[in-house]
Amino acid sequence: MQLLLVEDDALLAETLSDVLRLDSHHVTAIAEGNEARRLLSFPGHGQDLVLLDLNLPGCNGLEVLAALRQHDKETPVLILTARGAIEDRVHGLDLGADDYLAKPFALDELEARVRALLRRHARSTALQVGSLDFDSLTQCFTLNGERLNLPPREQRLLGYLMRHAGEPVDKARLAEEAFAGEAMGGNAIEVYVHRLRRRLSGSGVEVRTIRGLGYLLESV
Amino acid sequence: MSAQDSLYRRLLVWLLLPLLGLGALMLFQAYLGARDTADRAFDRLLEASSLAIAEQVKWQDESLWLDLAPAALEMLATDAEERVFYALYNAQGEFITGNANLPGLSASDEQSLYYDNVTWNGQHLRVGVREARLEDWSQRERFEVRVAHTREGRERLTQDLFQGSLVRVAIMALLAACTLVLTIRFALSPLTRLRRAIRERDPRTLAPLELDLPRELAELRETLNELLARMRRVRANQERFIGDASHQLRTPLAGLSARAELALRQENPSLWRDALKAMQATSASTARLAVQLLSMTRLNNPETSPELVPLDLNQVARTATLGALGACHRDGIDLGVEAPEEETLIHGVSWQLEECLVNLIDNARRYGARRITVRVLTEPPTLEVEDDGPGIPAELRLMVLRPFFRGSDTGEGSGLGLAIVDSIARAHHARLTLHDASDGHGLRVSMRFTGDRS
Amino acid sequence: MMLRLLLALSVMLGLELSPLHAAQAAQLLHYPAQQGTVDNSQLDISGAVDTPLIAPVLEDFHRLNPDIALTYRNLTTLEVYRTFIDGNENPQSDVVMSSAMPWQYQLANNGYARPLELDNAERWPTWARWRQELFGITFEPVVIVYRKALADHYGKINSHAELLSLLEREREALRGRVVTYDPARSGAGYTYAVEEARLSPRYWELVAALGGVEADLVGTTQEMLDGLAEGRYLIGYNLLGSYAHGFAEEHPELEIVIPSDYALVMQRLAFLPRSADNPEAARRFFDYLLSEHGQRVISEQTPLGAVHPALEGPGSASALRAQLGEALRPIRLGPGLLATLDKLKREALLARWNREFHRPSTPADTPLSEETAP
Repeated sequence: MQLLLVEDDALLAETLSDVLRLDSHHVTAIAEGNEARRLLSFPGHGQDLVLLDLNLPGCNGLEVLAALRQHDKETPVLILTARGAIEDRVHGLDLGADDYLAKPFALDELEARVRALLRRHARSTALQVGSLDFDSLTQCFTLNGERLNLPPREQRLLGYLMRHAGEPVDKARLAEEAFAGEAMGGNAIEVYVHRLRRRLSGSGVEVRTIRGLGYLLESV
Repeated sequence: MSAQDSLYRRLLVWLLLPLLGLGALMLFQAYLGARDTADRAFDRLLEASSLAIAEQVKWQDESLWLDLAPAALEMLATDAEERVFYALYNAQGEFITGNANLPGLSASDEQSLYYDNVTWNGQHLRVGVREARLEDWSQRERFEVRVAHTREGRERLTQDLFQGSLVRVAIMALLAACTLVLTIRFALSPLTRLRRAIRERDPRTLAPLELDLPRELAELRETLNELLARMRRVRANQERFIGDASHQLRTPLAGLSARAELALRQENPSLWRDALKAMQATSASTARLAVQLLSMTRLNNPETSPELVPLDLNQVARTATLGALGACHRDGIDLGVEAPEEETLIHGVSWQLEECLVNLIDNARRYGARRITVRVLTEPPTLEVEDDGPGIPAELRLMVLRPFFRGSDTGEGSGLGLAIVDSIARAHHARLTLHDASDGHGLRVSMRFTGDRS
Repeated sequence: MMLRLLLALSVMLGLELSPLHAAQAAQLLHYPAQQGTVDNSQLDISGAVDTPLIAPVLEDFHRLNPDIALTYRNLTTLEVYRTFIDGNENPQSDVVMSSAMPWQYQLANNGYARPLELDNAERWPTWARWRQELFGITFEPVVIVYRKALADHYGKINSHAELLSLLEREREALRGRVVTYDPARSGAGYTYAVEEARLSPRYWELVAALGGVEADLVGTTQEMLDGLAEGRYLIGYNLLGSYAHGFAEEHPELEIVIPSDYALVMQRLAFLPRSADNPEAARRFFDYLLSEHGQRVISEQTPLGAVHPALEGPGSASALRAQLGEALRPIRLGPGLLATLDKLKREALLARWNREFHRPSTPADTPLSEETAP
């Protein structure tokens, strides 16, 4: 994936570039706001994800974001800022950022967020969580390279969880979006989740229950 | 401050206006008085003239007879050269001599002489009518003498008298106005002194104002001094806070520096690795400390407190939990939400409450909890974070809310997390309490939003 | 009603208000406006001043104001009063001048006069004006005239007191040779009588002395002057000085005396009527008449006597005052004049006058019948 890192702190920029390259992304690092804005002002900027610091020399990160969002609503933007306070996030999200990470952050956290964003905005039909692959075009699941055949409802449930991997999805939302038009009850959903868990057990991919928030598909 | 709002002007206007009104009233009264006096003075002329004429009236040839003395008419004319009229009528109301048709007056009770103003042939006259009778042995015929003159003399006298009053009233008004101005100046001078004292102060000083002032202003001075005292306390707090903060930042930085220096002296990569691990942990916590210091400063600045808007506590709980999910998951902590189905609305600032929860979850995580529950209660609206960690002894629960306080320091926390939570709770008029967890093991932090249910 | 009554009163008071014959007085003077003057305006003056006396004044005014077409009508005092009261004179008078002081005063008192707003009027001596409406424009003492021959026999007469003692002393010699006004027939004579009665209680002694010499009672100054010139009379009492002066210049045998104890002074009163058709022209005439220049013309070219205080030469009030001092008694311009017009007052005074006049010879047979006839 092609990532753009806009960060003026040289140490942090170098470290992040290295980490992301280790995750086999192509990283362009820019330290100056105006340069970033110029680059992102072209519709064909070719970036798959932008990591944007807010406190930039030359041109404020929020202005860079606004310039991008004028013509490009798709490319995900992850805001990194030392400002700390969450209130900046509100403004950033209002302007069209997709996620927000306050400095300091753990590198794990950053990698997880980047993965999630890329997955959410993936233009390809192929999704992957750990050893589980899903081609949404053919509706085919592959677990550890083996074709996984599922009944339609489990297939629909797993497909939905794949598309929202890393994000807890509660039963109400599942009933409404994954099983739209089927009047699926909460107990029924629990039954299908239970069955899915059984199928996935030991595969390195599991459906976790987050109390109060819902189900989360993740690789262990 | 606009001129309209000047206390001096307000006093002046509200004292001068009634004074002017009073002056006008006095002048009006003076005018009436002057006219009355002039009339009384000039009516004496009518009285004397009519008497002089009446005394000359005789009975002769079976009718009234008058040998009119010129002086009787002369006396009616003063320097003002009034026009003069007279007439003599008998008891039957028949005209005897003089100016026929000179109007008479309707008789007044018990008075043989009465006056009134009339307009006759376009002239404004003062008419005096005297009813008299002949004092003859045989004849006691009644008759009526009418005398009249124009009002120039009266008006001139009225004018003169009135002008006298005018001058007196004007002088009095002037004196009153001067006195008023001086009095107000004098009365307001403590205000000027107060203003000057405040203006001349060193802007950095917060020492109380020492100034002799009248009671009303003394209250103001006391209020100001109380404000200054509060500001002194706030500044002392801030200074202590900054001192603490600087100490808190300096210590880990010193540690980092020392650790790095030590590692550079060594050649063993495994020792480097240990040093780097330690340095990574320290720098992470130091950065976190810096963030929290910033939050703390912002929260304590009353001028930047944002507006409280209606929000759903359930949403706040979910968002905060989602944010902390990753970190907890990595540490293998069971983080969950317990929230009612329906919305729990309060007035608040969502990002502050989220920060609150994030801090509490973070704290619980750092102090070794395995299971953390974010809970929303409805009656009253309450946010709770419960963990199964070591908990805090009851006697320390108030102390931990103070910045930089650490109980049994494990080196992980910054000492600001709970202080920030406390500040946010205050900003939301919420009641922050620390309890044992429901199963008796662990800590339950509860933030109750009282009296602000929307 | 009042006007009618006033008119009746004036008729009753005497047809002969003018000191001269009415026949002589009915004259008209006309000075046409000069050709080519810009704004022609009319000015109509009615006056009871004989034309030869007023002509120099009018001529001078006309010379200075050639744009004004000036008409002067000489009337008797009664005609002046009546035409004014009637209000049907055509054209309306713009200036009314008359020697009948009570009547003029009454007209002004009743509001027929229009106040003047002139500097000259403001400065006019207060004793010679009433308000800014009525102005005494001449200063004419009332005099005693006697033939110089009388002085040769009995000495000069310089005062009322000397006249009184002469009359009482030489009653027989002077019987029928003294002449004075008949107060019943002459308005002027009546006015003088009222004034003198006020001035001095000894006036009645003088009336009694006049009665004692059986003085002739006539209606006009001219009659008295004619009688004196013809030698019918030796002494004339209470003649109008302005007429006597002119006459005496032609008759050197006559001596004019302004009494030194007291001398009545008559003034011709002028006012601007409210009904005036040409008030502006009238105002200019007043401005002239009350100016030093106009007054100088009066003092130098007429025997009328000027009032203006700045004039000090012969024929001026100031000169007379300097000569006679306090003895001069101008008839007071005030409401006392109104008393003169009171009909009961008139009856009372004339009754007294007749009583005093007839006291020595015959007991008072009141000449009331004579007076009540119009």
